[in-house]
Amino acid sequence: MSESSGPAGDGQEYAQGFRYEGEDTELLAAALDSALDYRGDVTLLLKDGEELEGYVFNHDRRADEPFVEVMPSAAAKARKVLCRDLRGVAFSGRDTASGKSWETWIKQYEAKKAAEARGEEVGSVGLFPEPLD
Amino acid sequence: MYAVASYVLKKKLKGEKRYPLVLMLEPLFRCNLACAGCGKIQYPAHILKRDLSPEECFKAAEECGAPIVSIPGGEPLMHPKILEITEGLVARKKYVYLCTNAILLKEKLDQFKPTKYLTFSVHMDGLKDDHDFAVCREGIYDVAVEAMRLAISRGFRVTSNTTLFQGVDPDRVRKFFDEMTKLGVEGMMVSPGYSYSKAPDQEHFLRRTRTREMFAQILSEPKKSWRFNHSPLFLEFLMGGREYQCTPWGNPTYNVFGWQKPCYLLQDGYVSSFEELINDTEWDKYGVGRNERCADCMVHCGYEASAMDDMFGSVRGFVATVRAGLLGPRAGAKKESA
Repeated sequence: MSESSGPAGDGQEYAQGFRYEGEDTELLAAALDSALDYRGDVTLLLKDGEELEGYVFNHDRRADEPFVEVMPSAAAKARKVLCRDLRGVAFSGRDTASGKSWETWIKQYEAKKAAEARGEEVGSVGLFPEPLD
Repeated sequence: MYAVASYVLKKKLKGEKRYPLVLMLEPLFRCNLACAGCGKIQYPAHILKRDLSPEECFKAAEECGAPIVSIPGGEPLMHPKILEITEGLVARKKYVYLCTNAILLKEKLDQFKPTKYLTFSVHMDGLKDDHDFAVCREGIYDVAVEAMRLAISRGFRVTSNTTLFQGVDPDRVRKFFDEMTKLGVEGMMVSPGYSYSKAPDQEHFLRRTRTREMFAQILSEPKKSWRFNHSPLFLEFLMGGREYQCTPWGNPTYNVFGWQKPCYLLQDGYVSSFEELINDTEWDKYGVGRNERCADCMVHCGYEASAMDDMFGSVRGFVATVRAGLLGPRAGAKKESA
């Protein structure tokens, strides 16, 4: 049995909250391809019950033994996981680009200019990097 | 220039088809800016906290063998061992371009010693308002200019590195080149932005035809005082005066994940050695007409190496370089459909 859930899936945009669990290797491979492009952590669901959270930086579906490589959020070294050992993947982490779009910046910038035009004093504005802690 | 020329000629004489020109060494992804057009820093905190060690950096430089090492990031001056990394690369006679937004440059400058092997390549996207707007933070232009002035006064090599996005005013870019020239930069680098799939902004990148029109406006009749840190043939390419295919192996990228396939801009996975990168990457899958993600890319990390190869690869290329150097780069006459 296969199951997809969350704000998107099955050919739509993958986003935080999306989860695929099941035996369809094509759907799993598509989700892992998207995990490679995702700007946050995912959780790999292994068949032995382990749940491995981290950043996916490799997915080779054409290797003799297709695999993903993940930089675990709780370990220093990268880990390679064979796709045949996976039962699913969940887009569990926050999209780190969220809230840093050009539109967000324009909105801040224009609000500041409008306030200055009204004679109000406004501090400098800007987008800021991800907090590290 | 002599070191690069002799390196390229040696590779050519050996008949090496794919050789690196510039190692793009990303020792960290942390940055103190969050520019909307940047696709390099969108990682969770546990990735942003990771650093390449100096030993990993030296091993990558030796494995790759390129004469030039560009250190982008992230912001390299945030790396706790950036001095050790830089000095180690300089000791190996690598020409190091430390690519910085210069926010920390004034504070860190005392640690560095001027040498012909080290250049601070400062991210500057235009005049004050244009730069602050592009980097999504007010006040950064002034901080950078102050640091650049100080570095130049202390005898460091300093260049500017400019990325242009949709909507820039060519006249303002020309005024910006005047400002950088007045400031005393040794050379200017300029490139159209690349639409990174991981960048927060996906809307303001230049398409190929518009890129050529814009660069033709900016670079036609260049002022004699302007100095670019590019080959004249690359500038002609930007202006539509010549066609090149991408040379993605020219600027191989190494970072905390390993050697990045296939280039500095795309992330189609990683391998653990430079040899694997060169031998196992399916290079024919990349470039204009081969991959839709490459369709609008005209970035220097893909095409400067193509221009260098042309310059040193044929008498015609060499003559064209001399002509463009003396008379200025030529824009293309051909019109393309959008």
